[in-house]
Amino acid sequence: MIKQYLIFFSLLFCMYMGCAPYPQGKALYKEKCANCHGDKGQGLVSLYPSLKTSKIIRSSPGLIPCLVLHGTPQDSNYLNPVKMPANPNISEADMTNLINYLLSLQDNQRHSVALDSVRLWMDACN
Amino acid sequence: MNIKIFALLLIGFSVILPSCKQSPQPLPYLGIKENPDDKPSIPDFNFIDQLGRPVNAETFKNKIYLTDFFFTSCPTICPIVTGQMLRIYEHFAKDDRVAFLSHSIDTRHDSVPRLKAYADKLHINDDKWRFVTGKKEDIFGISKNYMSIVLEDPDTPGGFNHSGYIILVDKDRHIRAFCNGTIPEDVDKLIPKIQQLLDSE
Ligand code: HEC
Repeated sequence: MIKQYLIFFSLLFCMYMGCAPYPQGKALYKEKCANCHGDKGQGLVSLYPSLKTSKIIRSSPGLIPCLVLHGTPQDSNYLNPVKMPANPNISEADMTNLINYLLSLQDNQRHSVALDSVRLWMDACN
Repeated sequence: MNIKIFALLLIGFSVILPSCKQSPQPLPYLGIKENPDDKPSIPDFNFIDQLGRPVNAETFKNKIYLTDFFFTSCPTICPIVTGQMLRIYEHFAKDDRVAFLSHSIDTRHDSVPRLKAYADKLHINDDKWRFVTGKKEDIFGISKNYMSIVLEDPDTPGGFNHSGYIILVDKDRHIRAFCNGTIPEDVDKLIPKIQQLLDSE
């Protein structure tokens, strides 16, 4: 009986503390990105792209740091009414956690990025 | 029968039965009133929508509508509210008695083509959901008529610019309900009120 309780409560604990991968990346995502891209990265129709199915995240994670640091410009020809804001003060460690969290949102995506590569990407972006 | 189960059933029925019989309270008339029986209404207005068409009280004749205030480049809470407006829109997509009206508070940048691009990206019907711009003082002026009910409510945090309220207006332009559009659970509670208003009219 005690054993069953133990399993049950460790599962509960797990759910609350976020056994989900990359809790820091997730927290940062909730704070800076979820308003537009949705709680679970689902996006909003074509207004805010889904990050679960994003080709950029899947195949070119090296592009993410620049996008997050500088945001996207608002089109002067009005074709794109919404823009993504700049986040110039994200540290290398935070950026690494964020990218790894974004990668974890993709289906069947196992790979992750290391701090060293993220540092290079961020340096190349200024 | 086990006495515990019996007790539980008894409690269960006494909670469920009365709530089944009660029909819901009629929706109140909201706004700043001089007498308790007053029914404040939204004054006439004149705006322009995403297709450059005029939008005024005639546009919503014999319709109830949901309304909010937003701007296209909003980085903070408007995207959430727009998402919730869309949820309500989808819920009543087939009901022609329900319309939607989103006022831009960034009248300088949110031109007609930009509102059109925004509406297109939401894949909505331009007749059912109007995104409007107009004279800045008109938009801010009418926001006071809609928002007075919100500011009056002691439970709601102030700061209209960042309020994110969704407001329900009946076909005689009386405000009948509102909710905080940044809280999905609050929006859940508004949806049955919309249905109730439809059923009562
Ligand atoms: C104000 C709303 C907003 C916020 C907040 C926001 N974004 Fe975006 N994001 C956008 C928009 C709009 C686009 C599409 C830009 C374009 O296509 O020009 C976009 C595009 C992207 C893309 C490219 C997706 C693709 O496949 O095209 C990624 C990745 C992304 N955002 C990640 C993030 C991350 C990470 C954050 C948080 C640090 C964030 N966004 C915060 C609005 C936002």
